[in-house]
Order: sequence, then C-alpha cells, then structure tokens
Amino acid sequence: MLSCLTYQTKMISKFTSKPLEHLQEETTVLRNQVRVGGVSVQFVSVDSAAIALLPPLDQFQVEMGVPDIAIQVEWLPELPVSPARQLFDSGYTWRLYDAGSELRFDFFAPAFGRLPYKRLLINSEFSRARLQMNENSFAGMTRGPSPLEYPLDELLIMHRLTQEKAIELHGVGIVGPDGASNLFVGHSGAGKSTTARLWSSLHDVEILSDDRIIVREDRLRKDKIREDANRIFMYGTPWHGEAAFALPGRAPLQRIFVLEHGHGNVLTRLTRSEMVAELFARSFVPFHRHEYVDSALTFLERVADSVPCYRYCFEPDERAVERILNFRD
Amino acid sequence: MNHEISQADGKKPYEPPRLTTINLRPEEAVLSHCKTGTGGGSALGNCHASFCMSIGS
Repeated sequence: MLSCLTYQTKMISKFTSKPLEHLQEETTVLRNQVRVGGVSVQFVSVDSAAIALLPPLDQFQVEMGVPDIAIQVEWLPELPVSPARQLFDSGYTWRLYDAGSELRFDFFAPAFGRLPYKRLLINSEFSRARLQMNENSFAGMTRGPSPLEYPLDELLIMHRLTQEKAIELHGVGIVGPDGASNLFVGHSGAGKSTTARLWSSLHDVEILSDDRIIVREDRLRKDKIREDANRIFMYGTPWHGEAAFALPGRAPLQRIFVLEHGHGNVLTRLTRSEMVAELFARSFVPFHRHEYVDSALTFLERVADSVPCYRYCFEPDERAVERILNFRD
Repeated sequence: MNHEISQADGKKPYEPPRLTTINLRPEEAVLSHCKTGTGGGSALGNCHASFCMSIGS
C-alpha cells in the first residue's frame, strides 16, 4: 500500500540540491523514504507511481526525515546522448560514466534496444541524485515501470556503503532460537536458500535475507557505551533469493560461516587473511575505483578482528542445523 | 637448524607463507544478472515482471 506523504515544493527544497525548480509553486510533489542496511533513501516526484514501493521494499519504508540519499525522479521525452568517459560496464544491465561532477548510471534491457531506459545522475558522495526515466522506452506499454527496481536500488546502497564502515555480502542471515545470530555466506548455488528453508522449517528463527546481507559497524546507544561500544551488525535487505526471505531488522553478528557443499558437516576455522579473502569474494563492492576496494578490504579486516569465521562443508538436512546450534567456539 | 632454535626459545616456529587462490564470481559481484529485485516478490518471479530479462544463477 502506497502511503507517501504530500508536501508543497517549497517544503522539500532543503532535501534536494536542485529541488524541482522547474515546477510551479503550487505543484504537489510526493515523497517516500526507505532505509536499507542503515542507509536512508528518499524519493521525490510529482508522479505517484515513480515513488511507489512494491513488495518486499515496502517493508523497509520509514518515517520521513533527512535522508542519506535524496533522489528526484523525473520523466523525460528521451535521455540525451552526451559524450562521457565510460568507467565501468557490467556487461549487461548497467554502465557507469564520468559525467564531470557527477557519476552517470545508464540502465539497459533487451526490450528497449540500445538506448538506456533510465539514467541515474549522482554526486560523488552518493547523497544527492536525479533519476531520469525515458518516456520513449515505455510508450505503448500496459505495465508501468517501477523506477526503483533492480538493479538501481541495490547499486545505490552498494555505492553508498563505500562511504561508511559497511559492506554488502552474498549470504543468508539467521537469528536463531537462542538469539545467536549467524551469517552464512556463499556464491550462487552454495546453499543459502536451502539453509534458510532448513532453519525456518525446524526452528523459530528470524531470517533477515536468504541472499543479501549488509554488515556494518554501528555505535551502540549512548547509555551502553563501553570499550566495545562499536559492534558489527548484520542487516536484512529486500534483495532476497529463491526462498524469498527479506526483513528490515538487524542483529549483532556473532559468527560467519562460508558455505560449501560437502560431507559430514565439517567446520574449519579460517585465519584472518583467509576470512578477508573469502568474504571479499562474496561481497558486492564497486570495482571501478580502487578507493572503494581498499575501503572494503579495510572494513573486512575489521570484521575479521571482531567476528570468528568458519568454512562449513555441510549436507543439506537437519543435522546441518543441529551442528551449528550445538557448536561452541 | 633455525627451526629448532626457535622452538628452544619458545618462539613460534617459522612457517613459510602459503599462496591460496580465491576465485571471484564477477558476473554475480557486479549485478549484471537479474537474480533478485525489489519489485515483485521472489527472485525469479521478479525477473519476469521486470524489464531486466536475464535470470541469474
């Protein structure tokens, strides 16, 4: 259910660097805000469909406030072709360009041919952006587009995390019946969704996601400041896997397991360097700037210093769950 | 020889560095597949509903 709020143009001007200046003063604009992995994103548009939140992202909706990222969504008859240096090509769904003071993400799909169907222009701090939708691309279509849909939303958060002590990992986050919170990371096919289904079928657990987890260092509330006041948390995300688990909660991260199919449910403690490498190989990091990669590796070292990590060669049945529940470091 | 001396001194024996290769999955890491999404429920179902038509592994 869309529950966006309406404000007059003047009221949103403090949230955007170029706040809808072309609109008439009496034009009503709509806003919506979500928070994923501790990063808040606010969308502003005159078009209600442009800021609509579809499941499961609607679970991540939050109260309006000053966001970490503010995005103005607008429709253009066509997206202008302007020369820009290409920084990265994902090989399929998106390309990144250097647009002077901004970065430009162009999004492609076979249905729209060689022209981008939408474009994101964002500043280098990943805090202010304009999302331009190509009207030509959608002419005559019965289904309206959802401007926020994958991969734009995930790319946004993934890039913003480079500015913070955080990283997105390919994994399933499970808060167990005893309150212990474990993160199982793995490539596609390693058994993440299978693990999520197993745990949820056997125990009363909270599964934050069965495919994408954000790990970040957060300060605890002021009344709990101690030497270990900064702790590593895992957050659920809307980007779920085949088992479709996606929750907006978070939990202090206690252990990490690198999933591998094997025999006997064998746990092997990883060294610090092994852990950093294995987690990096299962992370979502913008590779087009070495600073982002350096930031990710530095943060993973911090995680390795705080959270034990094991390789888990498992067989996908209930014994694999019991092995973890009975495991002591 | 050096190894034995180290043990006699109570120091940790020298271990030569090991080189381990960790394979990346670039096609997964750069979101070039449409495996998951926020637009329409489960991962695979969303891909069909989305304008991104490539279903990831």
